[in-house]
Amino acid sequence: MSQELNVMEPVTKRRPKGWARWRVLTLLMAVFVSLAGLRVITGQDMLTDAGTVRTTLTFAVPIGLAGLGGLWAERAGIINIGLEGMMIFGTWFGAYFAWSFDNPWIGLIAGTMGGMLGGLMHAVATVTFAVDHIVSGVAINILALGAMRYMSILIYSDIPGAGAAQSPVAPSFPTLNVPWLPEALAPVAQSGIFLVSDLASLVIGLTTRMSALTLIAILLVPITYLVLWRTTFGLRLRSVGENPDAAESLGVPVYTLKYIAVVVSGGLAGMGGVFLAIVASQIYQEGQTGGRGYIGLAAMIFGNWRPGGLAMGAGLFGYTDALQVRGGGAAIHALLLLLAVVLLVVAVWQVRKDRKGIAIAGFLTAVVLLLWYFSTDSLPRELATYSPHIATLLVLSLASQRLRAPAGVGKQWRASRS
Amino acid sequence: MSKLPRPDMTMSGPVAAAIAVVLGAGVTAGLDLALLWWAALIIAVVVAFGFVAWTAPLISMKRGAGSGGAKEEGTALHKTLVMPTALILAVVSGLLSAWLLDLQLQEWAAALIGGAIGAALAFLLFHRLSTMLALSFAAVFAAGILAIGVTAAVLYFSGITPLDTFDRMLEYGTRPNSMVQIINDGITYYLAAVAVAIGFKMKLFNIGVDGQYRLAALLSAAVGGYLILPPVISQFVVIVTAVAVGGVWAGIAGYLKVARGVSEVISTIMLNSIATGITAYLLTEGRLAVEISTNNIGTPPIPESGWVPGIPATFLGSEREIFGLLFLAVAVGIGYWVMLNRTRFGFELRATGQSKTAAEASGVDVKKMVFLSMLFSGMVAGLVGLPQLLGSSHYYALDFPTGIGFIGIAIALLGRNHPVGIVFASLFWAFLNQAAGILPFDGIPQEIAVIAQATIVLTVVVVYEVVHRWGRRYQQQQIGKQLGRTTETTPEPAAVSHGPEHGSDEGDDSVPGRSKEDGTDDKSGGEAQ
Repeated sequence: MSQELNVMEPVTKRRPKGWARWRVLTLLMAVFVSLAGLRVITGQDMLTDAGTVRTTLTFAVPIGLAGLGGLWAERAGIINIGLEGMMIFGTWFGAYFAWSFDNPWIGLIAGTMGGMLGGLMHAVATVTFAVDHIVSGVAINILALGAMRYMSILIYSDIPGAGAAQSPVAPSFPTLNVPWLPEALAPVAQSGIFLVSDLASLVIGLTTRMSALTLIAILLVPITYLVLWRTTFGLRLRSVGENPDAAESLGVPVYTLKYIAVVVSGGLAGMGGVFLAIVASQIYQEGQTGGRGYIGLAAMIFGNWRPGGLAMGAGLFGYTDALQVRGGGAAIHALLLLLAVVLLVVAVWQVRKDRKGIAIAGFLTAVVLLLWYFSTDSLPRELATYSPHIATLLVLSLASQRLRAPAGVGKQWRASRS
Repeated sequence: MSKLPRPDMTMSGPVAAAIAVVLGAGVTAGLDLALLWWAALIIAVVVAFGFVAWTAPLISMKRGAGSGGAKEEGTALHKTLVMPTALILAVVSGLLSAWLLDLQLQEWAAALIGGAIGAALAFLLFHRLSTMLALSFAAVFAAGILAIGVTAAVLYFSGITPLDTFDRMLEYGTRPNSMVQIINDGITYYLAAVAVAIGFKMKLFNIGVDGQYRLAALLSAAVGGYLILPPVISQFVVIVTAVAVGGVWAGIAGYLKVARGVSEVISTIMLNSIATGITAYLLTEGRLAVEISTNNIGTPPIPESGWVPGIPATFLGSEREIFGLLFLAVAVGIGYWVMLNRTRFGFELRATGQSKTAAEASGVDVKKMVFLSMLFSGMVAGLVGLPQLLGSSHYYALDFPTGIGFIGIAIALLGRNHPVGIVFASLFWAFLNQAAGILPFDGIPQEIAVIAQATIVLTVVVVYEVVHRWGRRYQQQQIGKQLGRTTETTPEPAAVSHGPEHGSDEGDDSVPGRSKEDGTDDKSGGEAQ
């Protein structure tokens, strides 16, 4: 278990219940409006057009699925660092079975089961043997990388177009389109009016060329919420993560629930891998996962271990990634302005709360960002590629104080009868 | 053994040791005439071990074995676990030393000295091997056998004969040039593993070693290439730059953890990627890099005055050189051990890692410890690229080795964060990597080595946990028995043998006189077993 440092401040007053329910929605709308405004000010159409929306989804889904995997495991008390490895299992098995059976759905099932296999290994090590969770996860990551390359060499060596580092082309999932809405809205999106055309672009992006797997993945977020927060099974699973001893004393089958959680976690990561292999590209490729397992964990932490927050985190990462791929350094450069404005607002707010130190720091950083924005035209290519990581780090460092992990996460727990 | 008649006298320790050594050497030399040298050596060490065991009750030792004192030698645990482990260790060391000496000496002389060493170790280990250390070794043995079994199964089910593969790997891996490469790789891996282990001791997962060492290598190579300084000062400046850059990069993660509570796992992973971006940005022509060859750009090569000379490896039979910074790695290892076990800082580090609340109650500033630990971890991580940089390539280019950070994590896990354990783990890892290099020529995928490595990490961790738990329960049973016995007979409380340190990764008994019960952590604490 990682070293625990409590930097939380005590919450002094409770927010009004009515406003709290719409807090997330207002935040999202505020972000959207500011992005629309930024587009008008800077003239960077990439910020909110339909292609960016689609690309955001494509980049956000694997991270979101990995994050959901991490959520299921950590809500049951098991840290799953091996998500990366389970994703690799998913990419390889998904591509192989989809290609050999010429059916993407069989690839989906196979990839999910491959991820579940990884989850099972992790579960055996951490639940039955109570090994340190991070150690087991790291070992699974190493194993997945080597084992899948080994299998590729064995199986793909003689096949044209494939080899040790990639698979042959796999069939893709059916794409979904809403019939007449996108064409009707196209002129509105082209018009360039503040907010109206951005909304139109958003709708067009969400209703065209969406892969079936994307829809399934998006639906898994509310399904996860419903299962974990609205069913008895989910309550018991979460109780196992908060206090396994108390759960055990109530007769909850702790080991079984932990096993289920970790296997489901692996399956979700595997599904993320299938998405990477079949939807985001058409083949399995070595190194395809690119650290997304870890970024999914970051999204989960950013979302305070809840599916809604996790989706937002994945969306943030997917958006910055989509932006730097489509618009390059210039588009990210525009975000600097937004960041500076946000920091100014935060600084003003902190002054009102009488926290002068943070306010001054925020103000100074905002000034530096503004200077940087006005003195350069775009960010260097190499740094822009990693802007999602920088964004994640920034968001985590600014938001971490209010986060609360499940109380029993990371405990190497053994039942009291042993 | 108690049935054999024993002379009714006492023998002093050194005399018994000397007799054992002579016995070992003599039997080896004698049997070598009839059998293969290694068979002779094994039999000799076994005989010497038997002698040691037979004379054990005769020897009055001032300081007994490891944690339990002489008391421990009679228990069943000692007989079933420690003795076989000591025997196997003695035999293996004797074989290894004989094989190493064989490179320089004649076969019979090497076997003789190997037998002597094996017998000496048999004596030493029989009397001084503590239960916890024996448990660690036994766990590693068991895990190794499991991992070999799994690897053989994987090979078998892929249609490849396992024995041939192992044979090929062993043969290629023990060639002189391979051995030099193994030592060189091992030096790099060792530094990375120590960097990770410093964090692990504090229950901090510094996964960012990868980014830290690459950034440090790039910037120190740039300093060395652009800043032309006189001989010794140049190397010194390069090393100091690397240490500083690594420390700063890890310090960011440490600061975020301490000030904002950001999980260091995530922040170091993000920083890894950002470091990749920064190195890509800096490693372009016009910024820090120049053209090295047609397809390669890198920092300007460090002039010869700034190189670290290598150690010629003729004693191994090879013409290549071992990295001169081997001494740096040794110094880092010794420094790590000294810091952990002989300084107050190291004590506080271990204490905070094992129980944050207890450390706080003792007045340790946990936040400062977390930050400093990440800082030191990053500083050692900065050194990882230096053996390669100063000893071999002399510039940082696009082909500088990557991924060593993650290997360091695995090796630290294998070596249980112990400075000596990490030595063996890094050499073993490097051996697997090197030996597998021959396999593609036989049509066998090289990645079998990676599968073996991952399997052994998993099995070592699992087996160690099981064995450790079992050993602790056994110790508690022994304590219970002793307490029960002595309260019946005398009013005086019995001297309680040390319980094993909870979660200790080393058989280190530097905290004497503290009887420790693990009731708070062990869920079955109060239960009668």
